[in-house]
Amino acid sequence: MGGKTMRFDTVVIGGGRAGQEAALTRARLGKKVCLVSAGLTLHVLEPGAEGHPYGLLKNLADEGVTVLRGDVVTGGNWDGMLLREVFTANGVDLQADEFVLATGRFFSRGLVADMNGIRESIFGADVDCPEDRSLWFDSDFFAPQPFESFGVKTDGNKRISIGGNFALNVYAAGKILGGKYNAGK
Amino acid sequence: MQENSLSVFNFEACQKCSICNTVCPMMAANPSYPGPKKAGPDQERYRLKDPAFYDYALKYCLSCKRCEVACPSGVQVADIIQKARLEHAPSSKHPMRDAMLAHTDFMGTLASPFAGLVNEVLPLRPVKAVLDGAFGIDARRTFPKYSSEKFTTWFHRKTEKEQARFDRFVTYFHGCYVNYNYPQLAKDFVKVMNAAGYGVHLLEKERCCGVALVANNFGRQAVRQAKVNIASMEKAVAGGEEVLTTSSSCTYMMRNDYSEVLNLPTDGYRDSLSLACKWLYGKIQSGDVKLRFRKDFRMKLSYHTACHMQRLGWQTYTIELLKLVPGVELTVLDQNCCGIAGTFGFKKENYPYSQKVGSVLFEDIRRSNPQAVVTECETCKWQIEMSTGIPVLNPISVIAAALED
Repeated sequence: MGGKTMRFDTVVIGGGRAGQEAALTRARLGKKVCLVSAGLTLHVLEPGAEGHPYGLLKNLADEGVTVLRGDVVTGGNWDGMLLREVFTANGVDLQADEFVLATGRFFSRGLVADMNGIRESIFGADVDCPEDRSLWFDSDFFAPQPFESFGVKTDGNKRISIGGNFALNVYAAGKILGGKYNAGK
Repeated sequence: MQENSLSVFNFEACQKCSICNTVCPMMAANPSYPGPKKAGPDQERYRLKDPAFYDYALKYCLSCKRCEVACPSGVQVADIIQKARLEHAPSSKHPMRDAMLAHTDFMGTLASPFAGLVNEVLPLRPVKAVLDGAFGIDARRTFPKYSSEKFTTWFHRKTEKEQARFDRFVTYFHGCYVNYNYPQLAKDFVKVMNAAGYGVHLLEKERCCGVALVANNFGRQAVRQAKVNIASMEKAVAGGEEVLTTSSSCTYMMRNDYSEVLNLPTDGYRDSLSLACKWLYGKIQSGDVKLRFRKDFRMKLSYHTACHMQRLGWQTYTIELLKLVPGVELTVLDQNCCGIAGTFGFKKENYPYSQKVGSVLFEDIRRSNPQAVVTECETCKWQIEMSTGIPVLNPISVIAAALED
C-alpha cells in the first residue's frame, strides 16, 4: 500500500442520495471531500440533474468534490477507535479526518444478511437487529417488514460502533441508519 | 461484491437498471448495437444455452468499460462481452488486416528498420487506397509514425550504464507504441525518474501487453505473450522493484484482464504494478521524492480521462500531480470516449462510428482551447490529434518539460 495515499478532510463512502448530500454539505463548508461511489446511481436519471448524463455527480465535481466512480471501499486502517484511512478495490488509499458511511441497506449491500446474522459489509459495525431470525420478517407479505428498519447502531452524533465501542470519526448517513421512519416503502 | 453469486463476471447480480446503457458511447452512435445490458448479462443467458445465440453486433463493443464503471452492482459487463467474442465470434472478413493491427510487436519490428520509408509511403494516396480497398483500413485514418531508433536500442546504447549510479530503481514497462513509434515518452520517463532519484531498469523480457490481440480475438497468442510479461514482472517485483508504466490500457490489461479474461495468475505483481503518475504522486505526498520545477513554465492543458484510465480509477492521482506543477493551467474535461478504442477505429466499417462517438469529446476539447491535451492513452492521442489538430501529451512528458534542468 505505502506511499499511494491521498489526503482529504472527509471521505464519504457510498454515492447514493445520502452520500451525495453528505459530500455536498461538507464541500460547501470548505472541506476537501472525496466521494467513493460503486457506480452511477439511479438518481442521475431523475429530472433536475440538468440533463447531464452524470447528473448530480457532475454537480459534485463542480463543487470541488473528488469522485471515485466504479470503486468500492474494502476496508480500513484503525488506530484504536479512530479510523485513519480506507482502501479501495482499485488500490486507492484514502486518508481523512472523518468518514461518512452511506452505503445504504441490503440492496446496495451496505448491510449483508445470511443465515447467521446481519452484518455491516465494510467495517463489521454493530447492527441493530434481533438475533432470532424469525423476528426479522413478518410472514404476512404485505405487512411492514421488520428488516426494513434495521440499521447500524449509533451514538447521539450518529457515529457507528464496532464490538460495542463507538468509533471516534465514522458517521452513518442515509438508509444504513435504520429506524422505522427510515424504512423502505 | 456479491459473495454468493457463482455466475461468471457476476452477471446474475444485474438488476436490469439500464444505467450501463446510458453511458455506452456506442449505443448512442450506432442503432444496431444492442447496448451493454443486452449484449452482456441478458444475452449471456442465451449463449449459455446455445452459442448459436451469439449476436454479430457484439463486434461494435469498444471495450471502453464505461458500463462497468457505471454499474452499481459490480457486474463486469464488458468482460462478459469480451469473453463471448473470444469464444464465439465468427472469423473476420479481414483476417489479414486484423492480424496486422493486433500483432503490434511483429509489425513494429518489421517497420522500424525502414521507418523513414514506411513513414513516407503510408500516407501516400495510392497506398491508402490499397489499404482501404484490399485490407479494409480506412483511408481517412492517419497512421502513427514509426521511429527509426527503437526505445530499447536507445536505452541500451545511451543510458543503461548511467542508470547504475542510482541506489534505488523502478522497472519500466514501456509498451509497443513507446518502443516503435514514440521513444520520446520513454526518454521523458527516464528523465523524470532520474530527477526523482530513481534509476530505471527494463523488464528482462517484454512483449506487447496483448490488449489489441484480445480485441481482435487472438486469445491464444495473447496468453503466450502475457505469460512472458508475467514472469518478467514477477521477477522484477521479487527483486524489490515496482513496475511502472505510462500507458493506461497496457496497465489495465496486465493488472485486471490477465486474470479476469485470460485466467492467468497476477498475484505475484498486481499490487506493485502502477502507472508512473500514481507512483510519483504517492512518493511526493509521502516526502520520499522532491521534484524541482522551472519557475518560467507555463502551459494551458486539458486533461482527458481515457476509458481504461477511468476503469482503473486512478485519474485523480494524475490530476492532483499536474496541479502540483507550477504554471500549469488545467481544465478537466468531461469523461467521454474518443471513439478510436485501440484498433477499432482503424477498420473501414467502424470509422464513421468511431468519429461519431468521439465528436462530443472533440467539441469539448475545442471549447477548452488548450495548448495540449493530456492523457495516458496512446490511441486516444492518435485520435484526438487527427480529429482536432491539437497536440496530445502524456502527463509524464508534461512533468519532464516542467522540470528544472
